[in-house]
Amino acid sequence: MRSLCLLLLLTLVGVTATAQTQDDELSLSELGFSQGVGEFTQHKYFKFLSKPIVSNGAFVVAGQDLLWQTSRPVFSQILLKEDAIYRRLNQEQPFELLVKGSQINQLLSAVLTGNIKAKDWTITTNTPLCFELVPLQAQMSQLFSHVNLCKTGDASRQVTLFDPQDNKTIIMMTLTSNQLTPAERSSLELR
Amino acid sequence: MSYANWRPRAKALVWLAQFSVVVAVLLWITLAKPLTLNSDLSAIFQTNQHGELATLKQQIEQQGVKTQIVLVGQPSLAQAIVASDKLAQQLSQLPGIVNVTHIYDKMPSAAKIAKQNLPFSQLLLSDSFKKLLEAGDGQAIYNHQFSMLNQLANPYVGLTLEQDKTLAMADYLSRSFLPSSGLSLEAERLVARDNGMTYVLVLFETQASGLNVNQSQALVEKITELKQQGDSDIVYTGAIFYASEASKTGQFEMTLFSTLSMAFMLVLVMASYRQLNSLLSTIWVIAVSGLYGYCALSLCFDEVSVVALIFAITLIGISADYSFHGLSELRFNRVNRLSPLANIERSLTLSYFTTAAGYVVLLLAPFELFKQVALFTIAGLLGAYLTVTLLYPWLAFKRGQSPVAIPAYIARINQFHQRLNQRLSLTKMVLPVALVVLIGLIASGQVNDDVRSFYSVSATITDNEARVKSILSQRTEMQYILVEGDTAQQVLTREEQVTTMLDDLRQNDALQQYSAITQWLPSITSQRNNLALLTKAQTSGLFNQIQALLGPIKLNLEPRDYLTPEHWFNTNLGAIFKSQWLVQDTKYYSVVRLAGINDLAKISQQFSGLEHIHWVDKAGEISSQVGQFRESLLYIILAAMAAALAVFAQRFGVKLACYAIASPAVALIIALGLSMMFQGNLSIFNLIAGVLILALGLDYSVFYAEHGFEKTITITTLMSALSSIAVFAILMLSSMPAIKSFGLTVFIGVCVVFILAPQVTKIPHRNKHES
Repeated sequence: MRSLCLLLLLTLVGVTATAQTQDDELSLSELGFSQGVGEFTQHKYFKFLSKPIVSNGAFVVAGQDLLWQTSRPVFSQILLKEDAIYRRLNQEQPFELLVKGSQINQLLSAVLTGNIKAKDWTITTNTPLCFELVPLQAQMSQLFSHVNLCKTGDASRQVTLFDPQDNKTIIMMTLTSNQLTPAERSSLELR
Repeated sequence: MSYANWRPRAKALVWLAQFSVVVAVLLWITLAKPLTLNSDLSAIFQTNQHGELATLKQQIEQQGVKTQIVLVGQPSLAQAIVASDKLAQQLSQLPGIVNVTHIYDKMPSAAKIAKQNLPFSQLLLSDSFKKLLEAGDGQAIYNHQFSMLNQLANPYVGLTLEQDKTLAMADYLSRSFLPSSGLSLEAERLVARDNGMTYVLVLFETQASGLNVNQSQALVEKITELKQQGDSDIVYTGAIFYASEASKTGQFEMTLFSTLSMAFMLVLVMASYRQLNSLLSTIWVIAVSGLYGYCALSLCFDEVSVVALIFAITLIGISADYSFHGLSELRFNRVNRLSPLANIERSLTLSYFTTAAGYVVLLLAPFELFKQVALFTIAGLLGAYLTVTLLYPWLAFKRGQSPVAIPAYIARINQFHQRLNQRLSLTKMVLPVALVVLIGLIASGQVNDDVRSFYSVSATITDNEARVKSILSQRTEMQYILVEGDTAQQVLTREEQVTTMLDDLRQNDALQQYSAITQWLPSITSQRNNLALLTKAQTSGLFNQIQALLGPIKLNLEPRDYLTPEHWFNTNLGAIFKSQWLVQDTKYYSVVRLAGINDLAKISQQFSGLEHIHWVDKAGEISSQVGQFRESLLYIILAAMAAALAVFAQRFGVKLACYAIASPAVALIIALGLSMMFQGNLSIFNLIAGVLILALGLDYSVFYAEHGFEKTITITTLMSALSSIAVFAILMLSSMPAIKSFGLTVFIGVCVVFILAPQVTKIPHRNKHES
């Protein structure tokens, strides 16, 4: 009888866990967007620095491609493509390859666009509007120990990236439009 | 008692004795050191090189030959991992395969790499960071530093920033150290993506670098079988796949060509001699010649190229000639029973020596392939010559037949040939044509010494290689630079000179990429310079902006340990580059690998003739040796013709000797001219074919000069020509461009020389009665 109870309990726990994951995905899906333009402000906290390093700029998203353009204090562009990450410090110059491979850029793109896949993360809910994501891949956990993803408004969110050295990056993102102009679309091309 | 007076029985006994010795040697070879077939295409033009450097180069090349690449593709990474695990497990169970690598769980973590390198911070600078400091533009330096700080996913910034606020170490470690820019490390696998498919890399090594036929075929068949079993897209490349195909093609062509040659030969014998004994005798001569050739090859080589054996099929046609000479004499002439071949023995001997002399030229070639072909043919022909001159007289003595009439068709061909010979004028008609062709040949000068064009591989193999390169974004070239030095630091300093030159070549678009140890491990001198550069940048205020953001930068100017090869190769990063560092005796060597060569001539010119820096281009070196040998061969052909002219002049008089030499010479020129027309250029194989045309042509000339335009000579030269034409025409079917070229030229040459050879009969022979 005790065994039967234990089995029943385990089954119920399993069902609850599955339901929880499905709920998370549903809620998370509200945070996701597949296309749009917006602005961001980034605060980077290093544990040995008293003040954060602040930067701001704009982003453009179309599917898996994401352009992350820092305008202040220093111009730079990071382009996340399906299979690589590129960078340039000057718009006159061509992009240079930063990282080859799809895993980092896909996960980074997922974090920034909110298109989270449950298979890549352990997802827990901190508050009604916040999720804590812990990467499942060992290689990814070298980059982020965990990520907090919070909805801060209809078109805004806060992404907090924690690295294994306890440094953190807080990014405030605001989606200004979910339509792309031809110029914005062409900015996602590798030129 | 002279050899000419030996009785047939004595000759037969001598033949039996020497044959027994050969059979005994063959048995010993079979048991002690059986000859293995090598199907490695890269070994076709292997040259015998000696010396420390040559050994080292071979060692580097062998490593490349041993490593094989397989990419297992599936729509998703998870599926690709499952499929690649299965393939790797099956591969590791195959005999002859070692070191199957597909899991990279020992790849160092970013934290470990940073920890190993941090003690050397400020000593190590990436090229781009160094250039920024050298340019002295504070804003550009700050932009670079800030963009690194601002990156969302760079583990090295967080790991090194506290100790190195210049961000030089973070920048230094952020570069990719993977062997191919198309690869990324995911789920402990090296992964590449292409056209919506995810590929996992599986590497394996073959035990032996010289792959024998059975090994390579069995391995590749198994891999093909594994490929067919699953639904994965398996793409592969490596020497073993080339070797397997070469051995398959080689074995197929050897079987097909030898069967066709033998069948044609037998039909020819039956049609001309109409006697089973003649057929059996010819088969015996061919078999004995093959045996002698094989025996000589086994004695002198441990491995023989499968391509050499395809060439060696020509022995069937040439050795059968000796049988034809003997059979024609015995069958159609009334002969002395005690010395039935007395009439042709001298001609046969002269014929053997002229043909063998032709092949001896190939023994002088610096390539194993030509040596193997030459040795097989010389020994094989010796077997045929001895069998005909020593055994045929005894067979004739035993049978004691009366002569039979020459077949009517031979008489008709002889009549036609005689009429043609009368109408043709060597001096007025043929020589002017040959002269024009020769001038055309010299003027065009279209020669092809590129060793890569001498053999071809199937589209499957080349497509697979192209796909692997495309999926891995790999453009690594066969050429590399070898830097030598008496100390490790000397090698690193010299390698830095090389990389400076390579950077210039990159700027000029002659080269896309290179991989050198000093990109990660600078010499101590460079490490000191790096620290000096950083110090200068700091004192010049170039770090003011980043210091305002991160706080003061403290450079460690105290005496400290520098990063040395001994230390670095024991770190995780150094281990990746260990194959590019060699220590032999007291010397140190480093290998600089190149990728995406756009201007080979420019790079080769830049690095040729430098002291302690060696430009290694195996294909280029062989091509250059082929070119040198081709030039030497021209002179050898001219010298051989001059020697033959001198011998013939002494025996037949100057005028007849000139005619006797002119026929094969003209045939050679016309054959080369037509080959050039068909191929668009000439290669070493056309010239080697020229040696054979000369040798066969001189044979015909000798027989016509000695015996006149007799029907028995016509039947012999006709059969000899037909057998040669058939064998060489069959070689034209080969898939190997080298063999095809050879077959084409000999085919044309033999046709022409057969028509022209009787021209000597127009000149009175001053010693004819003596002979």
